Amino acid sequence: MKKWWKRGLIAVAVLMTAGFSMGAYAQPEKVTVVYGGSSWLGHYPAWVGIEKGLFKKHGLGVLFQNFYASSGRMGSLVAGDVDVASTGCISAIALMAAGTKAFMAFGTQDSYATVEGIIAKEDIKDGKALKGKRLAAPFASSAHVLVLDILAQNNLDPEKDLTLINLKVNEMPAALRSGEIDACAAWTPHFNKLLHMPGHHLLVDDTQFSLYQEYRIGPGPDLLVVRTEFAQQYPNTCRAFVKGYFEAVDLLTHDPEACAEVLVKLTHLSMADQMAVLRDITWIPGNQQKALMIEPGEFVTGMQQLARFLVKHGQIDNVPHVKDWIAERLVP
Amino acid sequence: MDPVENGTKISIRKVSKIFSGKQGEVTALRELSLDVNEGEFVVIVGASGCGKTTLLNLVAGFDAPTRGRILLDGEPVTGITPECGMIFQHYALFPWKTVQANVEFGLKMKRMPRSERRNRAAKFIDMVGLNGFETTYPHHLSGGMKQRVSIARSLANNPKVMLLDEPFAALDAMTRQVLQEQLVRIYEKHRKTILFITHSIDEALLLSSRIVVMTARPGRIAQEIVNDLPYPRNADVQLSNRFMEIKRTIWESVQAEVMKSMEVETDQR
Amino acid sequence: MKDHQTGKSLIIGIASLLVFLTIWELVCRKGLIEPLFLPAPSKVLSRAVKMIDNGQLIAHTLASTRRVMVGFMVSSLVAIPFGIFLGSFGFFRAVFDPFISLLRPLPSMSWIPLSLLWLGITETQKYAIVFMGSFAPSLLYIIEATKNIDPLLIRAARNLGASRVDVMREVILPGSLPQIIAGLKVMLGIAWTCIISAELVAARQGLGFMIMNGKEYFQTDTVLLGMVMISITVLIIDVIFRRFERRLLPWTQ
Repeated sequence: MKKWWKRGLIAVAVLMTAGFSMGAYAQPEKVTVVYGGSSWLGHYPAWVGIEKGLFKKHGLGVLFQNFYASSGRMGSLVAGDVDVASTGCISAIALMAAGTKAFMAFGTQDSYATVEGIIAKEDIKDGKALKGKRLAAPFASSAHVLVLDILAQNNLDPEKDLTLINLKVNEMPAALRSGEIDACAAWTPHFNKLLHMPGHHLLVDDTQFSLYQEYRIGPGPDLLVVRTEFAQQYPNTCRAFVKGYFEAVDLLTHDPEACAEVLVKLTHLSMADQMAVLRDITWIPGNQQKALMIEPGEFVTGMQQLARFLVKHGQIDNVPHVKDWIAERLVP
Repeated sequence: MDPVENGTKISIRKVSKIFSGKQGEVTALRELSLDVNEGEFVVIVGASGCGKTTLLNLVAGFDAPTRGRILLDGEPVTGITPECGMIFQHYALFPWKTVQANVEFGLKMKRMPRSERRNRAAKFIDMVGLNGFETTYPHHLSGGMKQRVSIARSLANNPKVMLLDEPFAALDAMTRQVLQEQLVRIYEKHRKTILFITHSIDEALLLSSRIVVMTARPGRIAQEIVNDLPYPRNADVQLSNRFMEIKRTIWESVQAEVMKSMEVETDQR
Repeated sequence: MKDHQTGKSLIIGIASLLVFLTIWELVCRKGLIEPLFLPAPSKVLSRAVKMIDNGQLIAHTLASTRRVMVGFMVSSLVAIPFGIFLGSFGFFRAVFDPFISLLRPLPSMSWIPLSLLWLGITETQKYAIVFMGSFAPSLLYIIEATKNIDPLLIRAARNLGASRVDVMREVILPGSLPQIIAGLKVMLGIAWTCIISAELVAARQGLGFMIMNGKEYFQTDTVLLGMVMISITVLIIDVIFRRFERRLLPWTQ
């Protein structure tokens, strides 16, 4: 909570110094954008954009608000407390399935398929060997979806063939060490920590996810979303945000070191760990967004498949038509 | 061991009781001595606040005397003893137990087998005339019935001595009279040693074989009168000259103590 | 006469509930509230039908009920004798008082990290959360209940030959039982709040899990259904408890 305020104050300071400097585009109608984020890597560009003054350059002040979980962040976005956010795809799809048109998607900024996966004791050699074991995953997360997929690939019933445990990622190292669980599904940075625990190895990562093979989409890719009402009211503000945002993505790609220096303030990682995390991410620049989101829109097709997958596994009730939630005008 | 006169059941020897409270020390009893013989029905009469109940609590072992000693059958009383069965003004029946279970209580505490204590309890319930109420809870009984249960409970436990602390004070006149007669009958039948407290001179005259008048606080014995009125003390006895004579004697002595205690109260104000 | 009165207020109660549900349903049907924020009662009902159909609703409800009952029973079975013991002996009450005072304000949630370390991700851990959340308050209720025993009754029992242990069993326990039971009824409600918080972490079954998972997937109807199920279950347990109470306290009628 306290941190939240601190961040808020920092962001307000950023906002105050932002002033009304001119961009090459039409002036933004509103200079404050509330961004919903967390210390997850998908929020790096927004943070870098704030810290490196990239939004300021376009006349924007961005307020970075922390939310631990995607669901809480999306809830606030729909409720009107957050304007722009990055979210795990699953939350976004679930929200689409709930039938709300209060938000739209306009991009996907990263690919981290090699830093999420299932880590198991060394004697568990393949997916089939999970039978009868105790496997932990945070329910309703991308790692959970990965687990459901891997189990399906190996013809294992999550209800009968093994014990599936609902556990938060940060509780996994202790549970694995005490032998309470035999395997767990997690994402970076805990993923890296778990990977280096002696006696354990990487069983599968996101690249083994069935949809990844076909559509290059992991179980929970990051998605950039905007509040529909906000996008309609302040189109120039949104365009300025997107511009600044993808400049930050470019900076992350070309000068990770400079970015890491400011990112440690968000993640509290050491410089070395921060650099290691950055190395595992593939950033998707602005000029590739159209191909992914609109034409041919393979990312959207992937998401559609993911929605079907979630229904098949009983996680959501109905398959939304994902294309209806793409804000084409905002995609760079 | 102190030498005890043959037949002395309770021997109260120079007993003083001092309570220390917020207002300083209060001497409830001062150097009180009294012997009660086996089979005697002693009634203690005194104004309220004279330390009657304190005396009874000391005999029952609920409280220890500050000075002096109390002997029961020559043995000093050192703690609560079931040998002295106490009957309280407010009955003290266990509300969660039926009449039967209340009467059985003392026997249960003696670990008497269930069937045996059932029979024994039935006998005493019958004695106090409460047949048919065995499974009733005290809550449903009148005050008089409750006190009869209490008496049956005490008798079933077969104490050597019965201590009664104004047992009929809370009852209406009619019920009181019935119970008084019942108590006399029980006394005549069982010849228990009884120490009975009251502030009613009439009650003392009706029940006792000896009357003890206590002084105002600090309590001591003002007067002892052997009550030689013949049993049963029916209407004729109650209208006799001897009855009036004893009553007058006691009344004078009690009145003097009442006046004294009132003066004390006035002084204190 | 009294029955007539309660019958009447029951009818009024049901009518008021029906009116409320109708207004709620109409407001939702008119589209005044987005279903994400408040789904119509009919949506909650159809979610219930669906979840009864696939067996999940019963499974979640039974899982939570079992956890509450086990944790609560163990807590009561320890707290009642211990509370009566402490209520009877001032010395031991003084010995344990600081610990009880320190434990009492701790919310059951705060025990989750330690219980996970000590007991692991097990059912025992869930029981322990309920136990820790309800034990200290139960104990205080029971000690308080023993204080209201008429000292005259203790005196009478001792006078009839009861030992101190006999007094505890025969006088203090039954004498404080009506108040203990009243306290335990309150504690049962607290036990439910404990289990809901326990099921937020490392659980894959139970109404707490159902609510949290519903929230994660924005299934507000599931969230509401979970809440309704908690209310209904507590009401049912309360009715059973009242039956049990009548048997246990026959003299209070």
